[in-house]
Amino acid sequence: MRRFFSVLSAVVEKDLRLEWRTKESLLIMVVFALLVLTLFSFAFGPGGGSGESARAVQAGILWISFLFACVIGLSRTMGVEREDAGFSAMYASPADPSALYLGKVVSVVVLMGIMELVGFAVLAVLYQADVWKSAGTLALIAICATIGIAAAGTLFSAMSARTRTREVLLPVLMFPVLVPVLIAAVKATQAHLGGDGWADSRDWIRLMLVYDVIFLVAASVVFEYILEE
Amino acid sequence: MLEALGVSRRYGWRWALRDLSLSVSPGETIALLGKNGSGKTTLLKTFAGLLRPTEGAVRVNGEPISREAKGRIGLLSHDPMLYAGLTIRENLGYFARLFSVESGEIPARVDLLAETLGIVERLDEPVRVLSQGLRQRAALARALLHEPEVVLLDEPFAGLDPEASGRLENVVRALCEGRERIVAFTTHDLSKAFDMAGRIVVLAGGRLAYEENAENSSEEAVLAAFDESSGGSA
Repeated sequence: MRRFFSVLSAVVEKDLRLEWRTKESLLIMVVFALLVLTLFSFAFGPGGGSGESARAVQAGILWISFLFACVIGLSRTMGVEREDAGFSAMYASPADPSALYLGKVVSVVVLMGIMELVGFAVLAVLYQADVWKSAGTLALIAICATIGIAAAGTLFSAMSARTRTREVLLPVLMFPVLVPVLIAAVKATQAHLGGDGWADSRDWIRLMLVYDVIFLVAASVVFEYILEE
Repeated sequence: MLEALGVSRRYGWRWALRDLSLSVSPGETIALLGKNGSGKTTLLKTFAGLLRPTEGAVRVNGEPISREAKGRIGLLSHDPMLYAGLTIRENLGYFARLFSVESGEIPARVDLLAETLGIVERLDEPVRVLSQGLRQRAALARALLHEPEVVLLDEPFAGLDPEASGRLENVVRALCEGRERIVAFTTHDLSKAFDMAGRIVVLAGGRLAYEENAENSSEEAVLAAFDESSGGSA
């Protein structure tokens, strides 16, 4: 178990150090999410309207912007592994592929988490959404959804990284699989932006938790075959 | 003991290796020779567990290549397998953890290898700013960091200036002197092969075309074997 966590932390440390040096993925992710949120705020007017439908739109825009930004970030993160033969080096090592996979997932979760903090702040300012009232639950929703997106995204970006059509292939593979987590994240976020809160979001959060567990376990098992040349 | 037992490897419809059997004993150094596309790199990658044979098996000490067995193998590939954005020290630290080197031992091993390979002063520079020769030395440090029993070197001297090549040659020579270590390297340089290896192996068309002790072998015989492609293509 000590070896497992040593490998996992080595991958996280390496990924975040590379990101800290270049800031390529994070910067692009944040700017992209900001752009989408800002453009939609123009389309829907200041505050983005009011009432239940406005909250549904705000939650939808928020998670769609996160999802698109994540695709760009994942392409960059996995691009480094492709360019520097990182996958081959991982596969040539005795390290547990599950630890390698989970290390990559944690790195993506950290990057997405930073982007989402900025995204929620922008939602509060541009759409006048009351994100502070349910900040704790929104954070829980964001964590559950982010783990799901990172779990699927890491797997599919690793799969597509060594193909010629990777930029197109990644969203094509990833988006259909992420439909349940996207719907759940939007519905749960909508509930906390002005609905009945916990009563409305509880089942959606459960759905995300189940999705996260299933995907993390399944992807951990198959990651070894994806690393193979 | 490192063994390839009837190994074949196919990329799509193209056979890179055809029914190849070869065994290397501890303490032995072999030079793998052959034309471009003869299957040398594929064989090394198969030995390293990076490629699965389409047919046949690869064994280390009688066991199939497992995750644990990979911990006893060090591979220097065409690609240095180093992260360009990290320093040599950070790269080596990362790979040491992947290869389960005890964390307390890592700094000492990194320093020792850096000194042996002459990269002490460049340890804290990002790999992206290093020359080809320095990258090759850093990659060799990565391959040797976990003190492997089996060392696989894919054209270790390619693209190096005479000084860098000489330094690397000394390190490889020192490796070859290890009594229990298996060293297999590919090269196009016949003189280096005869000088450093105990056995010369020539691949042609993915098949074993020639195998002889270096002292009983001659350059003419080796060159003649280069063209002995019997059927398979690589």
